[in-house]
Amino acid sequence: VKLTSSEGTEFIIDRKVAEKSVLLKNMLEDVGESDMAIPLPNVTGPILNKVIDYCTHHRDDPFVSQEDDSKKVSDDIDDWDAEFCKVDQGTLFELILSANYLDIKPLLDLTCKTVANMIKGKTPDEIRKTFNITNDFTPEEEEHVRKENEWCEER
Amino acid sequence: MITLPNECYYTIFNNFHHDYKNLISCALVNRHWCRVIIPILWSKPDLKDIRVIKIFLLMLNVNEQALLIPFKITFPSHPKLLFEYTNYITSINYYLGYGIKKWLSKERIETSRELENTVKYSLIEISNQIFGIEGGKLLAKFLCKNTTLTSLNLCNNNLGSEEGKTLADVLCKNTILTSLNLVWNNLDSEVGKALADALCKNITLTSLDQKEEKHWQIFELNSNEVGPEEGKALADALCKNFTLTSLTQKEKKH
Repeated sequence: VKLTSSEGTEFIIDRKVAEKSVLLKNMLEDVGESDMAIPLPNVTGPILNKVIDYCTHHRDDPFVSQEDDSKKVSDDIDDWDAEFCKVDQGTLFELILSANYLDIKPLLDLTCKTVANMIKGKTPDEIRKTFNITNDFTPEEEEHVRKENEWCEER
Repeated sequence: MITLPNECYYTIFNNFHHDYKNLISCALVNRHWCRVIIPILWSKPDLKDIRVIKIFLLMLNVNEQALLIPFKITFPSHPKLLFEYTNYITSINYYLGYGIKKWLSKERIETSRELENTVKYSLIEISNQIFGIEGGKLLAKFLCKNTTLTSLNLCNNNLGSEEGKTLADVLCKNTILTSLNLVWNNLDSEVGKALADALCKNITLTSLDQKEEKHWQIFELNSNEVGPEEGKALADALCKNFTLTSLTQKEKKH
């Protein structure tokens, strides 16, 4: 299967690897075998490279359906996955976007969990600093949110 | 930070499940995060916490508040809440009663079962839409002990046959309830039988309203799905029940 990234770089991968992406899987089923490259205008070359790495490593994993998903205890990230996620923040968020766009649930879960781990235990201010987010609450609003949700604080 | 689609935020925050402390920290980050997180936080609030009960009370509308006026409960004027918190609740369990008790004793309001039940009732009313299985069980327990509730609206509560049966059991014992609305619930013919039985024994229920949408079968006389047995049971019940004065049955729309 041929894919082209947003800059026009061509990637050739196994169909089995491509089918990790539900988007591509459906596309391939609709179109059938074809020599035409599938353009992925939302994904850059370096990110697509990472995504292909991931899909290649996990090519033999059983497909996890939406329902089974809640059962599996998902706190542990295996070594390969952890290493895979050791990237700068920009890349990590690009990976989330691509996983979402290409519909690769395990990759989306993994990257989102990595972000969640970065948030864990931090104060709102620390979270803003970590992700470079500006606080757009008015002081009154912030106070309201705090007050109306006070019950959450000591849990 | 680049902006992600909302569904990605959900995936991130769902990692915290009901880890409220992390969630509230995220909610306080900015407006966008707040809007994503509040519904997650309030899907299963801690009903034992008086602060949650207080927010519930602030969400009551004028009619619901009116129920509490006889008990001299005043509603503080409070600026409008930022969110419609009760809309996000997905389940209610027996902790609700516990939370209400705690709140009442904190407020030094002389508590009585009558009052507790009224508060609970008005709170149940606001969560009417989202009544699940747990809610049905709570409700059944509640009816067993309840001595003041005379009217109960269970419209569109998605009660299943389990709850329906429990309800029928309870109706046998409850001598106060005079009106029961079961419009739009998922009740089946077995429940119908049980309800019919209950009607035989219950001498106070005067109005029973059940328009039906999906699975309600038993009280529809024109439906093919009503077995003769159930129909007979119902007729018998009506004969024996001297006080049932109104029984509404709308036909199934198919």
